[in-house]
Amino acid sequence: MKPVPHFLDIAPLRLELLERLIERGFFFKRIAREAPERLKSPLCMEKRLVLLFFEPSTRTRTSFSLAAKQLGFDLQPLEPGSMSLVKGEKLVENFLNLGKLGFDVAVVRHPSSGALHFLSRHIGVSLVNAGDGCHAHPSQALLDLMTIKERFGELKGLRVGIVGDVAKSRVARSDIHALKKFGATVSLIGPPHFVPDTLEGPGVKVSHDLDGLLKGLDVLVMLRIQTERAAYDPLLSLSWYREAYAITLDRFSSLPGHAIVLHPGPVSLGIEMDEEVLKLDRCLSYTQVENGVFARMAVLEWAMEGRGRCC
Amino acid sequence: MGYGRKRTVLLIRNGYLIDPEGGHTGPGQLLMAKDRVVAVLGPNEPVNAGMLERTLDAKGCLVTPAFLDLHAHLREPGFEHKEDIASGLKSAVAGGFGYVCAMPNTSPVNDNPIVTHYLLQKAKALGLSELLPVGAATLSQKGERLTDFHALLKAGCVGFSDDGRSIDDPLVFQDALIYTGQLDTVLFEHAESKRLGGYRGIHAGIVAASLGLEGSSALSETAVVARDVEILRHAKGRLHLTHISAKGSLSYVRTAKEEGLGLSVDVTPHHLLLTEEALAGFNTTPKVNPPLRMEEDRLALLHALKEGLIDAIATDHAPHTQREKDTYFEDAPPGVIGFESAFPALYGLVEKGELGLEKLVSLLSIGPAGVFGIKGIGLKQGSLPNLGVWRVLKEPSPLPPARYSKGKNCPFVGVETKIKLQAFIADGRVVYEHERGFGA
Ligand SMILES: [Zn+2]
Repeated sequence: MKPVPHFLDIAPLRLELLERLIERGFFFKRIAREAPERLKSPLCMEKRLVLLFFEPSTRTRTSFSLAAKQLGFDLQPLEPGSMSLVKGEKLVENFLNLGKLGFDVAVVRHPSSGALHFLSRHIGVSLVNAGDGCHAHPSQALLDLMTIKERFGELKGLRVGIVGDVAKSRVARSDIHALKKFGATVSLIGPPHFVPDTLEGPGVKVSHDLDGLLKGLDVLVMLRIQTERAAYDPLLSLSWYREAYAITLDRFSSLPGHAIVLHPGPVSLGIEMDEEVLKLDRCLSYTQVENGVFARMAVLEWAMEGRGRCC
Repeated sequence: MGYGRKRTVLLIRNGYLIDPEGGHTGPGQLLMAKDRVVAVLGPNEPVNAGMLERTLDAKGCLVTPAFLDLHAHLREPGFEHKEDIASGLKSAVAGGFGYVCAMPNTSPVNDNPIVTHYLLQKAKALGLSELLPVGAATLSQKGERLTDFHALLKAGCVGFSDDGRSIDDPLVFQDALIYTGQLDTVLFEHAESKRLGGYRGIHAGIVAASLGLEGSSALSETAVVARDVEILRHAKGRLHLTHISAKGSLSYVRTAKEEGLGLSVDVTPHHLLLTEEALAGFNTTPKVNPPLRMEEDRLALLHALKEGLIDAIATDHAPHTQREKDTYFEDAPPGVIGFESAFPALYGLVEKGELGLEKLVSLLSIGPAGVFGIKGIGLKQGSLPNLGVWRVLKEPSPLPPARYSKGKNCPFVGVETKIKLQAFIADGRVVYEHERGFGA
């Protein structure tokens, strides 16, 4: 099997590549405004792309679809349906069957951490990770980097707080890797079972005290609290969580005047974030959605670079 | 001469004998009959053996008693694609194991004498290692109703276990222990709580955290060990905790032993030699329950081993095929194979001066034998005539994949070792030689 580029995880990527992808994202953003007809990339036109989501998603799926269409991909709508959670061997078999239809890149989301790494050892087609279990969501990290860089110009030295169930968050994991590469420092904030000490490392601190940190943060990333989880999770008291970790107007006012708030969405309003905060200029969740399409265009174009059609 | 001419069949010459009981460690010769070691002689003592079937030159080799593995999965009946009794016992022999405890989680489960008989018959016909069946502690290993310990013992079981899981219900666990006291047998416990997040195959440490996998904390083991010791204190009986992995479990073991409770413990080669780092990059091969833990756990286990707190090393040989392990992490079955790699991998500890050779041999032979009170394993006159002859290599060489196990999930392939099994003797006969395999 000849090697094909996969976009699975931020961790192994070189800083230069990330910088290039971010710049490319900004380039697409500019062109979209100035000359949208020029967005189509010769690398991607007529190439076939499938979206395979083994887990429900609206935002990421839509974002990748838009990215693919604007680049000129021939988008194959495929519903994995009963394929979800199949054994690894069956998963590969199903993929190989799809391969017979002939496609060049697959954007995949899977509920199990590492599922795409496993697939990449067996599939001769570029895989783009749209989220695997709690492990990685690298395109989200890329769009977060774009959004932060757009605001601050520079990522080095920024102090970023990530608040929520970090232990179960692939967004947080990819953000941590990405931010560290650019020399930002990260605080992971939440109750102990959301932010265990094992997440600590060079440039990454664990804290259970949001209020104590607010003054010293440039960026606050709020993770979604899954309210449906609270119904059966005895560890999660929503009212207590809100009390200690929600971003309210009050807390927002404790942030430095230049600080921004990000949220990967969808927001559980009134739980981790208040509606008043969402509406503020310095809450950039809509910018994130916008940048998401351009970041994903950069990723998909990169995946097509230097390779012919396979499968 | 105290040995009869007709019955001696094999002479092992020029070997370096390792007697775990410390009696005859050093150069020497062994004269064997089919049923026992007939004589232990000095290196230059004249041998008047009469009709010998064979003389084996063990120059440059260590001679050890055959090892006893307290914990293995031979997979038959039911999962013969992973391993069967023949491939499993060949693999055991190729690892120097002459006695193998077969865990009951087969299909059907060994929870009744019919399965026990089946296992024993199959093994006996092979004439290789002796299979020691471990019966299920509860019917279908469901943890609900105890099996008929008495009937299973009569059929040939040597102990009981619901291995693969703990007996969660404290009352069932207590009753099982009471029976072990009454029937003079032993209950093997895989101490790990599902409810507390056990059985995830990876430690809840930095590797799991970075991979986004839910791990099993040490608590999922230590909480069960604590409960088990407390119940043992009240129920009495005989408890064996198998594959202890967490540093925190050791204090309970120490307390129980100091109190003189009927407790024994084993650790595995993988928990002694590897840590959670082995799982980096979603490596499914070393995915095991309980999981490989942190370096401080590993060092604590090693220390406890030297100190004598741990009774035995057991492999937890758990074969799976390449295809079964080649999947995404959560989908991969837990377990590593261990027979053929155990001694060669552990010998590295001897090379590094971290464990004495006699101690290591003892932990693989008389240590585990003591768990059942099995007598006769050793290198003395009258010992069982089952031995391993190990060639000491001049240069380290990488451990090859298992030769006989159907399982391909060995975490030690490629590890440098300076020892390999040259020959294995069962019932006074050379049944395996490295060059010829089992074909001789
Ligand atoms: Zn086991």
